[in-house]
Amino acid sequence: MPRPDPNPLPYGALQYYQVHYIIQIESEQNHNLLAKCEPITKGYFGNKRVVDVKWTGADKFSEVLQADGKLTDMLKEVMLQVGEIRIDPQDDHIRIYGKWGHEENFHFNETMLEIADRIAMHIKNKLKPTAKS
Amino acid sequence: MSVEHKDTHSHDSSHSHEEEHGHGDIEPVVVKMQSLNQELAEEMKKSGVDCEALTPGSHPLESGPYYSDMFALSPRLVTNKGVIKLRGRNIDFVHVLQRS
Repeated sequence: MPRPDPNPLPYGALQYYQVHYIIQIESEQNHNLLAKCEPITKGYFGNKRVVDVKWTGADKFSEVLQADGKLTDMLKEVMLQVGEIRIDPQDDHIRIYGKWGHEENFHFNETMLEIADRIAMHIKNKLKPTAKS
Repeated sequence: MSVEHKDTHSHDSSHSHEEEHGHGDIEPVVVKMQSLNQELAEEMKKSGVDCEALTPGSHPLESGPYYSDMFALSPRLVTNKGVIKLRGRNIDFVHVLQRS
């Protein structure tokens, strides 16, 4: 476990990390895939739990993700740690990421990889006919 | 950057043993330097994910913009910590970033 620096520098890189899951796909429809997932929670502090998730987005793609029951079940497991999931499309690739995490919580999250992989599957199904090879 | 420290001092340091193998009390200390993407790639491999950590700065994804800025309050200052290439999945790469 990393020991916190007693005299941290007031400038430079912070102790917060983010993992981006990237799909390399080039299509004219990439920018229609902008979406965000937020948890719907009940309770406070130790009793806080995720009862559902809500996808919001620019196009009907968010409805496809909302309709996937298995994805919703997986998201309920991790949304308290991850906080929020964003699908951030660019011209030649699409990034999927959560919130920034402190270095002491920085480790590989297998469920998050499975979630990103399932979202990527939906993205590829949607973009495959129009994607540039 | 993490440092893996392997100190392999032998407790059995009898005179005859030294003569047999021809080395003294001090054994080599192996220091293994790992970048953050290599560290994460090792964790992923332990979980059965087929992946490979690329040399930091070697992939075009690392030089381009990391955010589309279509979300409000997207970070402007971030540090690239390397890319991991995945095989046999819908996800092609994993990119590690540090906030500045």
